[in-house]
Amino acid sequence: MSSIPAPSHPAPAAEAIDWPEVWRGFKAAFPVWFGIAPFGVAAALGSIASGFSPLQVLGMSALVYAGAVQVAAVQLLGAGASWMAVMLATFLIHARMFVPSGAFAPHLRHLSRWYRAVLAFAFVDASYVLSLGRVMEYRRGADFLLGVNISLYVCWNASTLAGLWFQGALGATTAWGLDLVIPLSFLALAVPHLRTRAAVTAAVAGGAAALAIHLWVPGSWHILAGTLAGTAAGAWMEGRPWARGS
Amino acid sequence: MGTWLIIAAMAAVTYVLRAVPMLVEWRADHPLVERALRYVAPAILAALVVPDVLAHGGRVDGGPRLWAGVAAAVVAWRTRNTALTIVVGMAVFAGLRWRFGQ
Repeated sequence: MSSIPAPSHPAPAAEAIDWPEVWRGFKAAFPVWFGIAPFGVAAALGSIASGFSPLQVLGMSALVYAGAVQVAAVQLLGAGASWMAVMLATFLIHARMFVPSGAFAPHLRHLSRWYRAVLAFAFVDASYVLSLGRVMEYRRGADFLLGVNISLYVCWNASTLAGLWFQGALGATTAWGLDLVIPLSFLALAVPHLRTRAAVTAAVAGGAAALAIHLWVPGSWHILAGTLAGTAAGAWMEGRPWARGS
Repeated sequence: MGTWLIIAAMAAVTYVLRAVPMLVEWRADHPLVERALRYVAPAILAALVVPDVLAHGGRVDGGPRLWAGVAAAVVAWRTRNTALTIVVGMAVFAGLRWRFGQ
């Protein structure tokens, strides 16, 4: 009886990464580079001004990899805040990532834990927005997300390095309107989603809630609040019998 | 040294917030959840764009940023072209600033 073979459930062969898909994701993030790079340069300049060493600025971009968090932490530490205050600010500013990261989870569950842990490392708002279509429609769409992540990570760290390099050579990015590039590219990405009345409702409610919170509450709470309000409004609208169709 | 410890702790916090929701195994098989997930994209895009275009720097501003946003929205709607949307938006912004010098 001891010779009964163990039930053979071969582990599904690990699927190979679709590298052309990674490259498509890498290229798809190029328009956003123009918006991220000036912000990266400005963040690096601000960090140096607050007394961080160049190596610490690079380390923060490479490890923390969150522009708003880095700028806030630098300001807080420069103002003599405690490390607890810095941790709290980090948590509060970054909590918004919960929604896009969780929204991708059902589409990524066929991938290994390792791969998802790697995808999460450089996951930012723009990764979600840029790779949404591919992740939903294609089994290896996560490879597109990997490409977007690598692209944005390279851009952010290169622009940090550039900021250390040209200390003081650049003026305010807002004067040139370069900070507009990111919202404009998101705008272009938003339009194809607005095909139904419910989707338009989600966008209008999300934008209005985000605007109101942005005006009254400091930090980046408006993104989370707008996302939740818009999602709820869209789902509610879809449930109205008179809102069916488009 | 203290600064490096803070950087490491910040990195841990940002990673956990990114990774935990992605590593949790769940299916979007409740009809209400499925329905809600369809609206995360338009909602988050609007939440990212609207305050940046309408209220940069914490107050509502009907200046060049607003008109750049309107022009870009029209181009995006008519052409579905990301690069052209950005170019037209930036051109309107630059033109209005140059013309009215704010």
